[in-house]
Amino acid sequence: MAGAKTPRAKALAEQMERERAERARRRQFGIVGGLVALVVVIVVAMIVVRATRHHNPAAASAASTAIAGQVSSVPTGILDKAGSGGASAPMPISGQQALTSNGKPELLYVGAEWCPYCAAERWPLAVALSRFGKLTGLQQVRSAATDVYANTATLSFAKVSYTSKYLTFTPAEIQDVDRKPLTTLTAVQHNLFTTVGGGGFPFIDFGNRYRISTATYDPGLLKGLDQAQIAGSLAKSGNKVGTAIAGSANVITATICALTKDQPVSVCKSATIQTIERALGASG
Amino acid sequence: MPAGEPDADTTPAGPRWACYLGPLICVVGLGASIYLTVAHYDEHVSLSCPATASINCAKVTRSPQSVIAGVPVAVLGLPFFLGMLALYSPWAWRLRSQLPGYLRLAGVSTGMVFVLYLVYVELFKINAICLWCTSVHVLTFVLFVVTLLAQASPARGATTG
Repeated sequence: MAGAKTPRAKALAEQMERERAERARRRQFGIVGGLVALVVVIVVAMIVVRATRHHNPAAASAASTAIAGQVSSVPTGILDKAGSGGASAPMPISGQQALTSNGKPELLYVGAEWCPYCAAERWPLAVALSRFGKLTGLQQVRSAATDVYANTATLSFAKVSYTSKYLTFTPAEIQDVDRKPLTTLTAVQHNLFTTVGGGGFPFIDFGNRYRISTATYDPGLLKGLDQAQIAGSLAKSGNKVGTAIAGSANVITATICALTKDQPVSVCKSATIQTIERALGASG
Repeated sequence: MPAGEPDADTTPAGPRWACYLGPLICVVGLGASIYLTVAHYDEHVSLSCPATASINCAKVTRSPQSVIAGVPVAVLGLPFFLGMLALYSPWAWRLRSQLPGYLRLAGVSTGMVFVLYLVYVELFKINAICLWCTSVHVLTFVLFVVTLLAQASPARGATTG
């Protein structure tokens, strides 16, 4: 009797063992599936939250300390070596009363964050302004993705402050990357922007004596670069991008020197600036 | 010894597909990590990656978050994939000990948690996605799935159970 039960008991035990193993296997795969699903859910949740925050990745954000520092401290040797860098000279303005503010010549900038030519021109303008005073509040932004020179990495002047003994800088980014209104021009600024500048971006009015109405160097040079790379190029002697920006900055610097009566001497009396300034006077 | 159990001395004890797929993922991940590491240390090497408003490798790899406790994140991929490659070696699979299996699980789980952190940083702190970093993240995720399945597979159970 006992011998007859043993095979059945053995078979039953094996059956139970198989079922137990199967349950264990299902439990293990259940755990695996649960862990994989957890990871997927976390990633999807992050993407959904990020997407629903309506944050425009192209919107301006504060420039890093490193970038602001590189822009404001381009080595004099590199600036002098760059000369004009082939940058186009500003156009003279005639028939307008000198533009001043707080007893100092005024530099009016009108641009838009989406504008690719503004994107290029802000770099040398920031470098030049930093030679006459302290420029703070720079932001990082990219030009429009749907325009020429799409997504050009640049700095925004929308929130900058500028202190200088020699000139007043009045920046106005009037539209953001999405072409939504950002800063409203005063009646005087609007009049200068439309009559002197022709309503195009960028418009840089140097005390109503000179104007820049486009990028003074090729914006295409900045293609594929981010702000850190562009700012880093400013300290590299012989770098194509750095030389173009430094040359343009020298032209802007010389134009400002023409307004400040060559003050400060440490900036305006350099041979490079003097050479450009003389050419400016000749053309003006 | 149950029928079908692999020879512990000569035959890898893990599922065959995992023994091939795991090392392959590790080697590809190692290659991507080497590329990211070189690009991190050599400023003349720029990552082949589009620069748009939302995709920008340089913005991610040169962000303040790209270094943790003085160690570049790009470099961390090297020990991770090298370690996982060792744990996925035939030698590790042949060991009778369950330790390599546990180490594989611990390693890939740590890697997966770190990847989730990096994805969070890209999406919410840097506001840009690095395609090369994402490729490493995807490889880590696939390795995570492979490791879990290998650990739970019947072939693995045959040797450990």
